[in-house]
Amino acid sequence: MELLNEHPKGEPLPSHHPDETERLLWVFGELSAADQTRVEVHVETCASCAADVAGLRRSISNLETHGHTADPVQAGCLDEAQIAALVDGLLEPDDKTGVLSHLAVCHRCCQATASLVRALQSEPIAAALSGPEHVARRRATDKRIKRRWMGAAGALAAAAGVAGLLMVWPSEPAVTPAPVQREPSVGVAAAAVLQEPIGESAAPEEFRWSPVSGADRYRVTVFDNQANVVWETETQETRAATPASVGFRPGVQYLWKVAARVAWDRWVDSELVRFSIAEP
Amino acid sequence: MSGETRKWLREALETLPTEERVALQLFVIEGLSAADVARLVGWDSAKTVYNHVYRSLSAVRRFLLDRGIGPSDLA
Repeated sequence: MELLNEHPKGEPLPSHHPDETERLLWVFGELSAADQTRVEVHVETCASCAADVAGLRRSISNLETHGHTADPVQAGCLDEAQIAALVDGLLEPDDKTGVLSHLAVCHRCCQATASLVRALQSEPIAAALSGPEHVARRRATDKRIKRRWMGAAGALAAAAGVAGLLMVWPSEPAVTPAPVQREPSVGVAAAAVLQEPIGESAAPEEFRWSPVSGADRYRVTVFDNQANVVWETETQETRAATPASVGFRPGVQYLWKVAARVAWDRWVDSELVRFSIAEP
Repeated sequence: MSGETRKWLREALETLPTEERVALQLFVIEGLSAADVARLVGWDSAKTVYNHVYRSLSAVRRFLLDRGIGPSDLA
């Protein structure tokens, strides 16, 4: 970690700046509890680290908003076997280069890859795949057919059945959040449209948004203008009452968004909307 | 987010090397662990993922700022 410049004698030593990795992990909440607190306190008191963290959060938020853009199925889209081979580490270097090049430009295939990784880590499937018959099968497969990419696809299908395989790879078009400005495409899940509060208003007693087809749960997150989470809650309704403990300050700009859960472990984010509390 | 800004964001991503762009997608957007991303992309450790993701996010931010798209223009 970097050390600050020498501090005037007699004054308490400043805390060390967290390095790039620590700042990133802090933003994602992946530090230990003690380190989360340490970095949080430092960011509160260090303008340069606060600015860097705010920049990271903005970039991440933009990517999360933009990154769910629906990619239609393209001619070069990966099939289940290719994705399974990538996840299993069975691709030859040249093939892997081609697969990664496609993933770099296709969110649909990235989603499918991530879905398979998560599925293989889920407890029942991981337990099924660790059985002796599957271990033996995978060893034989690895030796025999590196290029046929059976690996995880075959084992997973055997463990979970065809239905399980279909659950892992989305056969539906990729979900896209509908921006406020245009109508959602037919057959594609839209994001929630935020209704209130928007712009300058009195302190909101509740947050309201439009329902999302297929959503069974919503997560509301409110940020302050430093990208800090002010309040977050989950609900099955399309409104959430503001708790008394959340004190919105006049003149401060806030942002909020709603994530709709449209499938298992699949959330569609709305656009971020600004609001501020009118001065009394 | 306006269409113009979305276009610039897409262009910002296109300036990234393939592996960094994939890592950004899988780590930030899909939420996979750094260890999983490292394995998929072929990097040696989670730490490498963090370093690349940090640099990529900073590069995206710089690209947009260079085109006059500041914090107030983005969500």
